[in-house]
Amino acid sequence: MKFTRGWFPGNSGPNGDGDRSTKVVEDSPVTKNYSYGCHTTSKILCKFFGQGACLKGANCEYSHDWRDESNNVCTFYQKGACSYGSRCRYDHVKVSKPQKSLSSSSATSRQHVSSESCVVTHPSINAWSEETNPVWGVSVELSALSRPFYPPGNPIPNEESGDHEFLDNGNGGENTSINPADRPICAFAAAGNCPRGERCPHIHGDLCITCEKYCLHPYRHDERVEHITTCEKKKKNLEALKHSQEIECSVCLDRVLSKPTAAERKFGLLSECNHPFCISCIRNWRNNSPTSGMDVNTALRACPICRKLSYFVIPSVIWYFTPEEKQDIVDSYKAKLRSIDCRHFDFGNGSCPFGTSCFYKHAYRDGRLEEVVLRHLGAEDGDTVIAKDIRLSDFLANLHLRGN
Amino acid sequence: MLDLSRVQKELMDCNRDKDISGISVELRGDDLSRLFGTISGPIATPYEGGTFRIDIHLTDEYPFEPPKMQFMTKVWHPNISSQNGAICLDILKDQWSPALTIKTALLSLQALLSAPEPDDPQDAVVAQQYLRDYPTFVGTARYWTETFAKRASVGIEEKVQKLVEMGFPEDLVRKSLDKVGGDENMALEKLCSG
Repeated sequence: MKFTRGWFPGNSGPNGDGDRSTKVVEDSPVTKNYSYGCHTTSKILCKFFGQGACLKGANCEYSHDWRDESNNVCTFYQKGACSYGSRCRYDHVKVSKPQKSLSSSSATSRQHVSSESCVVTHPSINAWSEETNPVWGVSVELSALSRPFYPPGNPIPNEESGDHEFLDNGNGGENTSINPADRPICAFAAAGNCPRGERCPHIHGDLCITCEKYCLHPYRHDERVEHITTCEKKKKNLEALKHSQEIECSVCLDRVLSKPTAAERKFGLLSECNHPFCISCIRNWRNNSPTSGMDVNTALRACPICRKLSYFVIPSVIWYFTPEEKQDIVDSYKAKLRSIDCRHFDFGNGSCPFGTSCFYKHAYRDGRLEEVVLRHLGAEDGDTVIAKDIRLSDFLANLHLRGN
Repeated sequence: MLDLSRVQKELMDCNRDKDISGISVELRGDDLSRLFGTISGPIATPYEGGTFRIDIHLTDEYPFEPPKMQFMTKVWHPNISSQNGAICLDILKDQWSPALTIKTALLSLQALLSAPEPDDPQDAVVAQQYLRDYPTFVGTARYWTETFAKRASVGIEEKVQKLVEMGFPEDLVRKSLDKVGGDENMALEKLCSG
């Protein structure tokens, strides 16, 4: 079924606020919320507008058009578990499928269409969802609160009462016409024991071998794959943490993760070798005063065990067992530092001794990033060469200029 | 602050296999910063059969600074002072690393005894003899081992007895012996110097 703008009753409804907002939107078609572009939120009905008062008015990034659907999907349920269960005021449905509109008329507006039905009815199919789901039933998970507000007096969008299925509260989920992929899985069964057993209206999930819970939805392939991958990742992380417990710092000879304070329970990874130290020991050693007669580069900056030179230490709560894991730790550490403004650079007011090799962010106050300045250096034969991308490490490792 | 837990761990580790390694570390008193270690002379060297005592002093910065080590037993070696037992070894100076331990340092000393470095000497006289007249060097080193490094194994009561017989009061003898780590000759020197 197709709706035209003229069909929609919002323009003549008694809801003043709603009408005005609608008008504002329509009067200014260039505003971004009315452009039917690729902006995803612009197609979702504004919650506040639905209740008659959106303070953002024309600047709202959500749609102020009654024809758009509201997003009433529970985000916790999307992630796998909503602690409110069937009491949740939001819809427990999957979003990976085309967004189906569960919005329907409120109980009061329903009554004038089908007065013979009981007062507490479940919203059922409406015309919008027909394009994707020919028959649409709603599970018991939906509560009355999940229905968006419609201005009283407006005709309900769905006038084909013949398609309605009025479900009884008790057996709502057992409707045979429900697409099995849309039925939620039973949280009790997932946790290990469902008291309702065979009579449970929810789907009992398949066993996930990683977390050993019956939490895999038999009909939702994407969700299964996602759960299995995150579960395996979590398990791997947990195993790495377990193995990390055994790792001893080669300086203090203690187990790093058994140190008394949380700040000490961190590894200090060296960029060039794989010897384990706790962060305090390795930093202490590298910050040792050169007055003790030790050379900074050959002794202090070197690994205490293999004496391989490393220019930086990476803190990590977890020890790695493969080069890829180490690279992950290093990359995420660098990415984290890059989001922090360098205090030496001080938004362009100061100068950073590390220059372009600095791990921290070099940005001016207006958000512009520092430009790399080319350096002109005089070569031995009198020519001028441009040293590109000078890094501190180049100097530390005896920079060799290549003349042209 | 001296890392006490690390020193305790090191001591336990040393004493676990002291019969195999020939290296042991003992406390000099209640203080963990004053220790003395013993190493056995390496086989097939002039030091074979000797037991050498080394005074170890741990600074507060240990393990970020090297332990201070000195031979208490007199040794005839190009890299060890024949006068005061000072050692010339890079890992006890600028090549120290916090991953090294007292045990590894003592093992290095044992290796130094079997492989002298006369080109980087601590005692110039010994180094010169080593380079110019090797047989005499071996003879002297062996004689010193026989004289100083083997006497140290004699029981402490015998030493006390011997020194008391020389006419020193017993409590002073015991105190001096304790101070020098049980070396009879050094105790005698101390007693004579007052």
